[in-house]
Amino acid sequence: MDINLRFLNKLSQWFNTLRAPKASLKTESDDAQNGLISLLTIANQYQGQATPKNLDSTVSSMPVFTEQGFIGRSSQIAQLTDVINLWRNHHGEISAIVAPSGAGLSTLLGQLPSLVQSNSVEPENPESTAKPLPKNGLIMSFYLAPLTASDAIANVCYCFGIKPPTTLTDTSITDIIFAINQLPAQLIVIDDLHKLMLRMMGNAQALVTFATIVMETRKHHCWILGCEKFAWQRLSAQYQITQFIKHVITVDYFSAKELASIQTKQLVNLGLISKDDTQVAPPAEHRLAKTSSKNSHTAHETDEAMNPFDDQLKQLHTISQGHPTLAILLLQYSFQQQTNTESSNGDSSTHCICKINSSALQLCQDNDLFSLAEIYVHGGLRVAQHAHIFAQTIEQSSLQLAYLARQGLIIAQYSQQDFAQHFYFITPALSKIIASHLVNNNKLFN
Amino acid sequence: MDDSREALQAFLAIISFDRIASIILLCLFAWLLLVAIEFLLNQLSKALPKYRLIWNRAYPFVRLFVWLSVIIYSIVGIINPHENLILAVVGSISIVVGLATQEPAKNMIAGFIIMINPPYRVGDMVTLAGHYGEVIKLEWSVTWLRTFDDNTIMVPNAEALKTAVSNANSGALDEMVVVKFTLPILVDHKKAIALAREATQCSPYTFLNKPIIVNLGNDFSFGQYQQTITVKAYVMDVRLEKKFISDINIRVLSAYKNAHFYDA
Repeated sequence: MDINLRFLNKLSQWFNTLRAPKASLKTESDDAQNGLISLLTIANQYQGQATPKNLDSTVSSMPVFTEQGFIGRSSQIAQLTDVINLWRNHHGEISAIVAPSGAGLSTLLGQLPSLVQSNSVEPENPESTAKPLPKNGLIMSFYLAPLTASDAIANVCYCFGIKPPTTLTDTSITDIIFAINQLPAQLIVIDDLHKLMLRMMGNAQALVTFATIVMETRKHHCWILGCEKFAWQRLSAQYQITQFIKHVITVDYFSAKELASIQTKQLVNLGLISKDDTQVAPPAEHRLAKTSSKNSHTAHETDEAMNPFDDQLKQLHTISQGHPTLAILLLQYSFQQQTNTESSNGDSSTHCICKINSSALQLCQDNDLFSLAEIYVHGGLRVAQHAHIFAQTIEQSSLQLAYLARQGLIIAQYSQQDFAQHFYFITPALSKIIASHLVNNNKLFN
Repeated sequence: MDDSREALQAFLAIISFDRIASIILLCLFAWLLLVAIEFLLNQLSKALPKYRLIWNRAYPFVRLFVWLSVIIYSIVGIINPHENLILAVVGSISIVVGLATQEPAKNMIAGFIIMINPPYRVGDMVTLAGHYGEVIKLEWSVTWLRTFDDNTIMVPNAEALKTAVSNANSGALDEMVVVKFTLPILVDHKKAIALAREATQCSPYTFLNKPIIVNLGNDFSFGQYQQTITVKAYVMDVRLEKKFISDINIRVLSAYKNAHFYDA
């Protein structure tokens, strides 16, 4: 028996119209009154706090995160220490750290210099054949993906401060490998390997050249590559990168306990709770742990702390799904809204964390989702690159990306010279939400 | 003669207003239940498009189960006939089955076989009776296809069992697509293969978790020797098949033109 669903479809349309938020009419304050925060508001909040980056650089040294009070990631730090020790003991292999976008990979990699310093304090056995720890450590982030073999060679040369060859000959790669292996040993950390990958003609050969040089210098220099999870999946599927990388360290979003520790610090910074509230005497084993790791606080330190915002912190973890940047923005916004409500109503009885209104994401068409997926995996795209990937005109790409930016899903960095060079990247605080939506819609693959 | 009269009386005794009303109510309830289930499955498909094939496939089985339950409960629970009557009805059904050379009965039986041992499912891209399209509905007697020209085609189920069925994705969302290119024989074939592979890899619709295969062949047509490049790649979603083919053509042809393969 065939069931005619025409009536129910109409009913469903009517129901959806009734239920759907009316974007054009609804304002930020309407959302806030309902305990919601829109994606655009999150993007605006994030942009208010972020500092602009230089668009013209090909490669830059990353700012080193020497922030005190680094929380969690003890297992990953232990694995990194092992990797460095293996390299020192002449078992040098390339290592990779794979993390989803926004999980704190750059912050973790920023801990490496202090990790190396703390290791170098340890007394070395004079009879040991282990290599000394590298005097130079470099954390790199690439802004331009190579599209030719010579671009790739130039990128590697930048890492070592060597002048790249002006013309590419048959022996260029061999010469560069030789030159690099003559240099003093270095610790080289590439923060975002995924930015070297670009879905454009020529990139495949460039990646192969880059990988060849890295492979041939791995015994002498210590290479640690950081990569986004979905980009890693692509690299594994297309280039079998896992066959060349011996140690793959995985990082995920923060657990409830770790996130609570981060947010407790944030609450102290906001002045909502005092330091005394969180600094109760830790148990003996925690004190021991603290003395053994000088630079990293563990999540356990605040276990015993009396936190008046425990319920809110749990809510925060559920809503942010462990995403630290999003959690901080939500916390700030929620307390800001709470303060506004209290001042207007005089009601200070409830403290709830705002929920996310992701209707803007639901309204995205298929081509928008494809764009978001590519921007996500590439770690950002210029208008011209987007146009090339989707085989459309630069003007079409510009309009599409501007629309997505207006929804708060991506953030623009404008080039003063040429609109085709505007750079768009996924709003960092929304990376987890957007990735989940893209996976559900079959645009990203695990 | 007396037996026949008794059987007729027993049959007439079954037909009462209460029983008919109960059966109608039961059918109405089953229909409403199926409408609600289909509505929910459609909503689930919209909310989680990645799993849309699973939701779509569930419905034919649910419908089969619900209507079988209705029939069995109506007979056993509501009508509750005498054994002799059951035998008489079974006899009658046997005659109907005997006359199953009739097209509708044939299609229904074929539909039942398709549900039990499916050569295709809802969401698959199949060639049925010379038509290529996505299976959008699987009913007792017919299968509905939607072609890339946005035509809806009804294919009798008996036809599906009678002829060969070509299924492009067999239950997966991704699907292999084959695109052929012809090049002059003097063109550098290694470069042509590399360009075709990379251009396909650059398409945003390529499913990168599965391999891209490029094969080289040769051909003699129009009085000339030619080489053929065959690209085999997977598209992320069966619905993007034509878009993907077009995209690969754009990219590979652009790459070949930039390499001056067609200049001679």
